Amino acid sequence: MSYEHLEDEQLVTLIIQQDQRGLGALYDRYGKAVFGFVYHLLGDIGHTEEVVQEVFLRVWLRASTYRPERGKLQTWIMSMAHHRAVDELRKRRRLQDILETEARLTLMYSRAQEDTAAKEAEQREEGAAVRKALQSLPEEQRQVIQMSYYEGYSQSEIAELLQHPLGTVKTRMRLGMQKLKTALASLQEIT
Amino acid sequence: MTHSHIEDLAEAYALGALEAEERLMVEGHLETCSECTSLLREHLEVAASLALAVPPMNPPHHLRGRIMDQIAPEEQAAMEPEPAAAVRSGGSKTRWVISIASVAASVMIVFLGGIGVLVLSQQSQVHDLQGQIGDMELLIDEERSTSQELRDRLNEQRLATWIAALPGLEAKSMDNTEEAPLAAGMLLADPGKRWAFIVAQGLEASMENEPYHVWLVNNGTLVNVGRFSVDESGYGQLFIRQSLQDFAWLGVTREPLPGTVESPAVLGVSLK
Repeated sequence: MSYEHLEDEQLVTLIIQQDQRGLGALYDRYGKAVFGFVYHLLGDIGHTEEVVQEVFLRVWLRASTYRPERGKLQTWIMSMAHHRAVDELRKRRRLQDILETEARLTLMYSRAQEDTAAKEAEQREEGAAVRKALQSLPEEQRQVIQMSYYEGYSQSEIAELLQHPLGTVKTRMRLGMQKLKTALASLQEIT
Repeated sequence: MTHSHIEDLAEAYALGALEAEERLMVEGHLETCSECTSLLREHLEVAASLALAVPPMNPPHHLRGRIMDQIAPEEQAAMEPEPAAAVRSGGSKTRWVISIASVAASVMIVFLGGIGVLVLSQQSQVHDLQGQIGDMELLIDEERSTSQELRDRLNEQRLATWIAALPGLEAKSMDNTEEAPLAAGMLLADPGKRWAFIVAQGLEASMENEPYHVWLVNNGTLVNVGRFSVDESGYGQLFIRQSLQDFAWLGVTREPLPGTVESPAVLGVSLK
């Protein structure tokens, strides 16, 4: 049986039944997106590999807890990847690992070279739409969203780093997310 | 916590920007409120779409195998028979012997059989325990080795952090090459370029007999200033106790033979 054409929910069912090929197919579908995202946050291959491995192991062990009514499978996987990567970032900050942070800021990375699967093409299109939506936000709103989501800072930490009142940061974050939601919806309608 | 509280916190929750206490309060409320769960779902979808704004990237080929290997042993363990089953099959044979023996003899046989089963069972238990002890010894060895590696890495990081914090240090990014497209490096040199420190990430782990070498180059002159190994996370570093002043370029290669320079560079940086 070919697994690559199965829907996400069908793959989850196979994983719950302990079908390893189900997890393999899911990795083939989302592995590049998860790896790229985690690498973007952490900036080094070794830790990225560890986090991605943990994420897919969690999918294997906790597939039965996934609830489609709460969101798409991709959202579930990316949320797990985000939480785990942010944990790692915060741990680093606690250790004040100056050098690693410096290296992360200057790190260059290569992009995916092979773009064959249709699912990947969909992901790329969606990615471009999100980048466009992010760019459409006012700078101060985009900044707080990027600092929280991509760099793992809490609202209080952002307020301290930017030297803005906490209330200002909260307002910007709310407005930014609402605009992002609207922008994404209109971009999806166009496409 | 009310719906309006959740509405205030929903966006920050989805972005992971709440303090731990607030996050727990939101999650506690969600357990019992389907209305807020639905509201939050929309924000979580928007937040997760931010992950897709990042270009995908090819994971290293070995990662898929590592993940699949990690989930495989569970299935194998589930298929292995219980060790006690072998003892139970020996017991049924004993019962057949009992059925054809005299009453007096059968009492003795049952007694001896019981002793035999007991001995077998104990031998089996001893064997299992020996196996478990062996496994635990292996685990302890592995942990000890990991712990030593972590200590070494921590010491390396201490040195790196100490150097990075020195005032007036000149930092330069190193360029990667086609040989190592994922690699990145940084050169930290003292203001007088009397010594330097390099860190590299994203390189292939070095094998025991094939470390990375660092070279200083100027007008055809090539000086080897040291070598370093790269760990499994792709990280390596070297303290260079040599003045860089008379050189135009610094490069890193991976050489199978000591004292030779036959491989193309994986990282390089201009010193001018």
